[in-house]
Amino acid sequence: MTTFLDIILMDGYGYHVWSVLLIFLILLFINIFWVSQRLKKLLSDHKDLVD
Amino acid sequence: MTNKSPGVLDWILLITKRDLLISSKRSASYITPVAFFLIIVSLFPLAFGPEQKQLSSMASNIIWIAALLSSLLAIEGIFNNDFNDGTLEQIIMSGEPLFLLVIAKVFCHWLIAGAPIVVSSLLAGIFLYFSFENTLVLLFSLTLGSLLFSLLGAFGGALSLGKSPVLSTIIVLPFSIPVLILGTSCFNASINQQDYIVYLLYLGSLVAIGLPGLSVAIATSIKINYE
Amino acid sequence: MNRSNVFIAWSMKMGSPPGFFNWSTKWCFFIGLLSFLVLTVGLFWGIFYAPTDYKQGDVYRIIFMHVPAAILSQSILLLMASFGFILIVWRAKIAGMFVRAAAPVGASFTLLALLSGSIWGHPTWGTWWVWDARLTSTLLLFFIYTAIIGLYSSTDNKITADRSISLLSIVGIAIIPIIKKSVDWWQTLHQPSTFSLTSSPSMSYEMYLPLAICVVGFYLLFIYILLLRLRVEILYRERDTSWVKDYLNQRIG
Repeated sequence: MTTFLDIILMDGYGYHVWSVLLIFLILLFINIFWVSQRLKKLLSDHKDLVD
Repeated sequence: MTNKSPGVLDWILLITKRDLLISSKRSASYITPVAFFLIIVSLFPLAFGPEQKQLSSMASNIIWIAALLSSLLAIEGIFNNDFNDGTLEQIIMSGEPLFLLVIAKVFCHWLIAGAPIVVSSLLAGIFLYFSFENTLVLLFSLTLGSLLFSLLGAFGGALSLGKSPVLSTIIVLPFSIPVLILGTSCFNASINQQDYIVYLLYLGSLVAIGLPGLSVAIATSIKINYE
Repeated sequence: MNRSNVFIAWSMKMGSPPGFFNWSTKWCFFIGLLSFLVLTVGLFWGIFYAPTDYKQGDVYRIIFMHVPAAILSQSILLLMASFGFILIVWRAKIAGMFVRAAAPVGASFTLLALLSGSIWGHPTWGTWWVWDARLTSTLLLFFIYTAIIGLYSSTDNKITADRSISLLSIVGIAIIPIIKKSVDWWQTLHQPSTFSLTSSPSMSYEMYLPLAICVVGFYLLFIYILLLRLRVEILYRERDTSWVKDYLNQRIG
């Protein structure tokens, strides 16, 4: 593994490995995003009740 | 005349008689599954073309797929009708072990919807240039398979009691697919002169596990919906 | 206090929504941080420093995400079935919330396993998908998760919904022996299991160690996401109680 680009591309297999990592991160962020949206809705509903 | 309080067997007989009577009056309940089955079977020659060799090689697989789809259709109202008119509540309140009554109900449903499909698979075989030497294997595996489809469909119906019928289809399909695979592998093995008894044993063991296991699950799921 | 009293007191505290919520507040952040560290170490080691496979080249590095996702997709269903059983037998409300919270996470991991396996299969097997035993049964596992989520959302009464999905999870674990054993029963394309906790690994230690670290990291990540979802679910279900209202007031102010 000589240059940085060699390490990233991995003889053309880099596309596969990085796309899997991307899918993993996307799924992770979808989960966390859903949680934060639900919490936000809870807080805003509560605020409407209180005000 | 002694006035004995009704026991389990009385309830089982009552449910069986009632279901058979209702289905015999409502001709749709025993005609629709068979009609649907035969229609699906005839879709395949219409779509793939009437070439004999091709159809005869796919015949048993088509029959299995059609059996699965028509059992999904037929199982729709198995508990919903009784749920809507309150009979199901009476059955629960009888105090008898619910899973036995469930077995009775599912078996009746199979007699009305599943068994005719198994019999009409012979007619379907004629449509598809089926080679009749392997008939017994097909009939036997299809009997076991349709029993399982009825049990699984009843489980889906019990979980989605009072809700949309598509939901019960979604629930049932992932469990029906292994049964489908086993059934078609059984037949393909028998065509190729390989060991098909293994698959029949698998199907039989699934029925042996599924009959008590799924009936308890169905009974629990019905009681869940009533709490 | 003798031990059974302590156990009963602990399980009462954990079984009640406010008790669990307060207990998990400090653990949530810690587990999140720990999972981030372990995963970074594991993935970095695996993707950059593990030796190149002699047969497959560098594409095998997908294993560091594919195998943990697959392991977790089955473990999560087992956990859901266990907690579902606790709900049905002991009526512990929080067990039902666990099943509800874990279902989408399990579906995500199963999806990751399927997609990563497909992307890995394309250069090595020459095809994006093949209907062999393990892939088909993992696809069925994904359908079971979808059915669980669909069943929950279409039931209006949430107590009934919890019990229904608990029952479906319990019946659903029937697919797991099919996934595990199908590769041994039928000679198919997917390789037989090489990752096991008890027997010695059949791959070199230099690949096995980062893989094991990734598995641990994924488990921690699952616990973190589960805690987040479970806490939000508790807040939502108990939103009419005073302790939740106080907590939300605290969050706003």
